Amino acid sequence: MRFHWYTGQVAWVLHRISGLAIVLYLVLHIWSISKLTDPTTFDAEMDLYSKPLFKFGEVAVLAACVFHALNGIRILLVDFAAGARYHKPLFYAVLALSVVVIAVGAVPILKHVFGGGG
Amino acid sequence: MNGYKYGGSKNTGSIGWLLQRITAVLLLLLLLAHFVVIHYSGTGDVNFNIVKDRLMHPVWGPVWRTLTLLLLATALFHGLNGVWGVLLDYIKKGALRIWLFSLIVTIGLILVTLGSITILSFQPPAEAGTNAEAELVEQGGGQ
Repeated sequence: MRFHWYTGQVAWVLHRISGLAIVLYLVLHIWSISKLTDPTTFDAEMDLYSKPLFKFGEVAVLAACVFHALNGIRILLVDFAAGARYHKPLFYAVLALSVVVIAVGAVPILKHVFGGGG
Repeated sequence: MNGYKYGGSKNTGSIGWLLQRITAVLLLLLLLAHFVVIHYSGTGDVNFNIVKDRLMHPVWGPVWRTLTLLLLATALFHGLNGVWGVLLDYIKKGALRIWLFSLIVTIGLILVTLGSITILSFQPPAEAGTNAEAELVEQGGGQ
């Protein structure tokens, strides 16, 4: 018998991984900002975060948040509405919508990398 | 009734389950606002002056600070409650669960304190505020 991935399984794994990644980011986010109490260190840190590596990282954070949020809505529909009947098509909708929202949201972030923003 | 619960605990986890969903709905709103306000409005740049103008605003400053505090607490609860849920799936030893639960609660309390201090104590340094203060004094003196 071969191992087979089911839609709900994939959704569950992706929700879990994106959630853990966001928690890791959240901890770093709170800790990093807590050190920026004066304008000089604040702006120096923001300059660092505007470098391409961090901009791509920001897109990754956006992607994790968008997927986790949209799949979270799917979970709410499954738990509190008739979503259990449609959980598969709902997941495909989540994936499609995630791609669109992430792509649109990534444009202003990556403008700093590819545009003249510096 | 204890048959389906691990270790005979009286806690079925239903409160945590429900709170995870309540905080999820709150986060949908608060995090969307956080993204739009901080990263997708204006030029999308973040620097000290932009943050200062937002947080020191006489009317909206306290509103932003309150919303950010709410976001901080909600996000930390949702995130750490989620981590706790993941751990429950893989950790079966009762004693280890208690240690990990204490660790998660401690991390949560430290981070919510650290974050609250950051938000509430935000204050531009005296030299940066001199102009605004001088203007206020002038206005006050002229009346």
